[in-house]
Amino acid sequence: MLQKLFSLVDQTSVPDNPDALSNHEVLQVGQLIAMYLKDKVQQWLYKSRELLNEEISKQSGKFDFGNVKDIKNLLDKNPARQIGTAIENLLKTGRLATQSGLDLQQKAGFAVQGDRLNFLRFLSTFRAVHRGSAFAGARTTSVRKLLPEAWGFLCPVHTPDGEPCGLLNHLTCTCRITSYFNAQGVIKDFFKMRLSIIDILVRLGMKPSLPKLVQAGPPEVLSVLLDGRVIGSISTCEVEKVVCHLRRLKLSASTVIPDDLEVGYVPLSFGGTYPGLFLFTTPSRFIRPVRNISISPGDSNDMELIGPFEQVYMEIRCPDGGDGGRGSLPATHEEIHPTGILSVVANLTPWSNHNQSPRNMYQCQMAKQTMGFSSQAIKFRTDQKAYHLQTPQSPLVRTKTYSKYCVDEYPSGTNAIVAVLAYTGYDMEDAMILNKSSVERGMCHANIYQTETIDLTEEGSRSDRSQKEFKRSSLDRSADSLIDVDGLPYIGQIIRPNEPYCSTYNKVKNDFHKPKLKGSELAVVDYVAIDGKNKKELQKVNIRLRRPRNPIIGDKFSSRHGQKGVCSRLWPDIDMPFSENTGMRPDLIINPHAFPSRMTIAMLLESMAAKGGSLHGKFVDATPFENYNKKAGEGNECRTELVDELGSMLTARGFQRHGREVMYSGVYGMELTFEIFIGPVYYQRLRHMVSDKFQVRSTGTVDQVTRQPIKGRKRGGGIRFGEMERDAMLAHGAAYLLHDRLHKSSDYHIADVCSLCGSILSTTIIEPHKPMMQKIGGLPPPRAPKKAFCHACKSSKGMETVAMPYVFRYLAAELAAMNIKMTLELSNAVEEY
Amino acid sequence: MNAPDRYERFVVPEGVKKVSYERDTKIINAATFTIEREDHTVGNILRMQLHQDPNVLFAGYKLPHPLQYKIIVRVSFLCPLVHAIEIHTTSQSSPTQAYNQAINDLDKELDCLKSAFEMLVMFVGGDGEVYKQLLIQAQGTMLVPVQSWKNQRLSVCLGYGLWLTSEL
Amino acid sequence: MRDDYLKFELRDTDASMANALRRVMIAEVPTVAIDLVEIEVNSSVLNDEFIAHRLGLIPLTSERAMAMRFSRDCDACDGDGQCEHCSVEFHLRARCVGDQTLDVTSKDLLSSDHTVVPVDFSDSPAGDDNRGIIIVKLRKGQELRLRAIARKGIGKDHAKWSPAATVTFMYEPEIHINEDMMETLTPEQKKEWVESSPTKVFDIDPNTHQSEVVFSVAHLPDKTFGKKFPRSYRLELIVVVVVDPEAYTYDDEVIKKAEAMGKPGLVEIYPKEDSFIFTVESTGAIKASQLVLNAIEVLKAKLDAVRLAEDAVDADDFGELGAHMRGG
Repeated sequence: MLQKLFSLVDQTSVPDNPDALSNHEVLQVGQLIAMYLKDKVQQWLYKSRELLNEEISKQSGKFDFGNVKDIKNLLDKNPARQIGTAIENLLKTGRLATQSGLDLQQKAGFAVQGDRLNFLRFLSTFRAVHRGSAFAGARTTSVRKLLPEAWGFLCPVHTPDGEPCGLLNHLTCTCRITSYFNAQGVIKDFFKMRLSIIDILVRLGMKPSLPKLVQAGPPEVLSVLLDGRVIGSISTCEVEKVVCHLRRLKLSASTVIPDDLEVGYVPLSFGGTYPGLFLFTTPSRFIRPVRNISISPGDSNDMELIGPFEQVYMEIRCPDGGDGGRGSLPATHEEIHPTGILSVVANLTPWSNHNQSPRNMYQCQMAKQTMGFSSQAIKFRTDQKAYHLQTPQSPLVRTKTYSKYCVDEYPSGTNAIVAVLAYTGYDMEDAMILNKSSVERGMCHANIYQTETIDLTEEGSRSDRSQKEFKRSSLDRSADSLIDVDGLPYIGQIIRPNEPYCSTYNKVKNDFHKPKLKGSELAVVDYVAIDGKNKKELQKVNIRLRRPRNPIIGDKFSSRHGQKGVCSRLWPDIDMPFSENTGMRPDLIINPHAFPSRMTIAMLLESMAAKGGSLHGKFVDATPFENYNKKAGEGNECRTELVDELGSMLTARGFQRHGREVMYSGVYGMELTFEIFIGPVYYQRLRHMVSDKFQVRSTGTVDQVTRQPIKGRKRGGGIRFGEMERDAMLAHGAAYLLHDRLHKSSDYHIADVCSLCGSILSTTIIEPHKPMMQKIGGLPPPRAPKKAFCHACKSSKGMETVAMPYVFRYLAAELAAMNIKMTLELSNAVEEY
Repeated sequence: MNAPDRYERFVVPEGVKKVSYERDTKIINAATFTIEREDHTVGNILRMQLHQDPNVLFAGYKLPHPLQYKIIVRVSFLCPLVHAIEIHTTSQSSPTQAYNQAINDLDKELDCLKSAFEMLVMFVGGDGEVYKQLLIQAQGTMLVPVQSWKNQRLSVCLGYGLWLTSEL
Repeated sequence: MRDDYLKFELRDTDASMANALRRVMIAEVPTVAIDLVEIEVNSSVLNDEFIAHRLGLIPLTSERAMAMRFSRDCDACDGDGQCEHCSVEFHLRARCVGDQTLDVTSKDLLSSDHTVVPVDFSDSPAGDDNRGIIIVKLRKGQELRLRAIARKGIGKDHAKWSPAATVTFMYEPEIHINEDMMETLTPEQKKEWVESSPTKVFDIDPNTHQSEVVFSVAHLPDKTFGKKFPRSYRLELIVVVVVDPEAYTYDDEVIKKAEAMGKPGLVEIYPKEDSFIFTVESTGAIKASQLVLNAIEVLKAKLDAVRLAEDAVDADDFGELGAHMRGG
């Protein structure tokens, strides 16, 4: 360590980058919980000791150390159960409640909900690595950078854009984390492992540091570190041989050397990283398999697990022809497949190598928002909310990863016939036209399953606990068509908004309570699960409601290439353009402007490939980088472009080479001037739907204090017409509109102002019959007869009515509370509006 | 939600005339017909038929808005799927005459087409054998077998504008 | 021409008529389809709406549909759409008792009217075990019991009432090959050109006679030509003919190919504006030929409906302003 420091000062080596993945390990769940448990147990022990000490120091004599009962009584004051609750709380809230902080940079955010929105989302939550929320607030962006060290371990594509960009990463599909257990599930004996490694090293010529530390340093000898401990030194000329031997031992199954041993050999370089041989056996390192091509190819096992630290100093070849490492040296290792750098989700994008990279990022995000099959047993589950696509299909164009991970078990989209043309103008700006008939035939039909939990023991105060039961009222028969005698709904019953879906009876108060269906859309009772935990009486039920969500205008769809769009119309089938030779009408029309700037070539390829594939009756493989692979294999001889391959598939079935077709206008029956690019593209339905988002209000609830419309969709509030909107109105000179929005449609108020003292607070209306509603009512009242009275001036003279926002009066009142008087100077220059 | 009923597209609401007619106030012999709950199907053939009429100076149609019926429901003023035909004729005939004449002509054309097609179906009867025999019998009658591009294929003219092509 | 497939030519008319026919066939020829489903028991894996939707999409034989009434216009029943003039009732009872998964298909739908039954495809060459359209699969113990009412409707209302799977037409192409220019091409070029069309529109006339001319070069030493000279070669007179203009898809591939070969104008293709090749494919609800006839009928009825009422015409003819305008 000291040598390294000196070398740094001498500028013969550079400092390590703390953000590089090669210097990172993962904090895993088990470790965190173990740490927390240890901390809590320790805390408990300290507290128990304190209690015991206290008891002993009291010297009351009653306390007998030998008496188990006494100790037990004492320790009951400090119940051990709180350790369990602490862990439970950690899992629930993700918050660490420790004094020490456990040497972690953050105290909250340790728990992430495993959202089962769809399977890909569920899966990727388990393959996500967060850099720590401490960095999220940091100004610097250097932590977010994608560094070359992360190659093959963290997916460069699969990270959200926006706030957590680069901090929340996902492991690549081949990457794993080393664990305490070996492949057989047996806990590893790290001590034995280390001893044998030292043993082997000594045999290979390492001078162990144990009896006596060798004083020499680089360049003559390099120090050898095992799991961060200096175990000896080895002469520079021999180190390569040792590394080679260690690698061979790693692969052979017979030795004690673990297959995930990291052999980080940093070669001598002046001005580079401090040299040495760094060995790691510890758990929670990143590892990934690569093919070792330096050993004899006959060996059965040539998959070597490497870590990010050693990777930097290895010569790894990529089958697409690009060489990693220093190039000057021959490659010793080879990547299994170029797609190994991508995460599972990123790997599902067909031909992602043909896309502009941000589009692949968008797709990774959107794949996690698609409606699909969230789980296989949705019939028996009671998730809070589950999205379910009714008629999913398997994509015609798919990557190898798709079949490998059996994503077919959890499909999430439809092969829609997509025509790329500007038709009717309803496909402007990423909007898309859906064919009405296609939708009616079941395209993208979906459901939302929502579970309402009714727990009678939780509801209400403790006093009338277990005084409630599920029961239908025998007097009030209005809900009998919806609710059965047991107070629960009929399965399959359609429930409209504001209709009750179950009935509970309070024995004490002798009244019935019927929770009503909220929202503005109907629901169907799908399933009623009875929780019979307490045997006596039914106290808890889960009612799963099903909401049909078939595509309507405003629902969001996306292809697998980050091309999202909103349905703008359900266009009648007969008005859609139709293909001349097949008579096919597209299911979906998107605008050609979606392509030039986004450069999602893969989507075009997918369309052609799917068309060819469906004509030939087979699925098309769309693994990225695949043709580079082929090229390397066949030695540049056949340099067929992918497009030509797909084109010949089409021509073989009598279609135009580039996937275009002559189409006729469905409206006039005339030929369209240009041939239209048309073909099946896998479209995903995203979970964002208008039914959850639309907000509309004419008049409604207002805020108590300000008398302005309230906010919030759920409560029927309005949408804020904010400062920037105001600016826009001003810029347009639309003064009347502005006045309407901000005043008349908001908190219009007519106040009496005393022109003598200028106060609006000291005025009151004397006449009791004076209708109050004039103040609130939308229209200004007929000029009020001067019945108002100013308490400050003690007169009714000089009273004027002024229209103003109600908040202004509120402001005056607030200011008055702070002993600030607000006076208005009235003039008749402008007629009152 | 607030989506209109599906039948709004084609069921004329009560109290609304299927066709209404309004004379243009500025141009002589011009008129606008508003047809309820119809679309391009009728609009386009009417327009094309009106173009055949030498007296018709201008004929065009428009579907004002694909969502028109929605708007109407709200305002309860006009009718959904309004479809306006504007006809501008020369002074010899009135727009209404031209309009009705166009419909009559189309009707005739369709009658013709129908009888021709019925004949076709009768002759063919779904069976190639019958067809072949009929072909032989039909020699010299109004059915004129025409040898086509492939030897296996025959076209038969069946009177009005209708040709049957069949593979033997 | 088959029951569900028909191809014919329509001549001497314009695109508007052809398109009107196409549109009517797809969207306005009435058929019968299940519209109302009352589910008594459903313990299958599919939810009620899904099954109802699937039932709706089953094509029912609808020869009678033209004569039936729309249930909203039906006088016999008070608009509830449950009389024999406007509706057909179906029953389905299925329960899986065996260990094997039970397929509930359209054949399990029992109709109250023998003229309106689910379309039977069993005569199609798919095999003997053709059991109709699968509605749902049941496991042991699962049950489906329902009552369904089929009604008359049109495709404009919902796609399930559309009797046409595909209706398309194309302009008949008129293809002129410039024979003189064609002759300037080598046989290989001709072949290449013929093959450039993705569909088989052109071919080399099989009747073209081929003559073989043998050059007697035996007396010359091989060295004369430096390299091996063919002893003989065939002189082919290849005539390119149009074999199937209907197959042409207006893809311009051959024209582009001709241009690429430096022979623009080798072939000229025009669409005949007044001649259409129609292809009609039915879902099975109505015979394809009947579909066309019904379409004509419906279109006639539609036109009839939009005819201006007599009084309106009269009012116009004898109106003061009308007279004035005609006078002016």
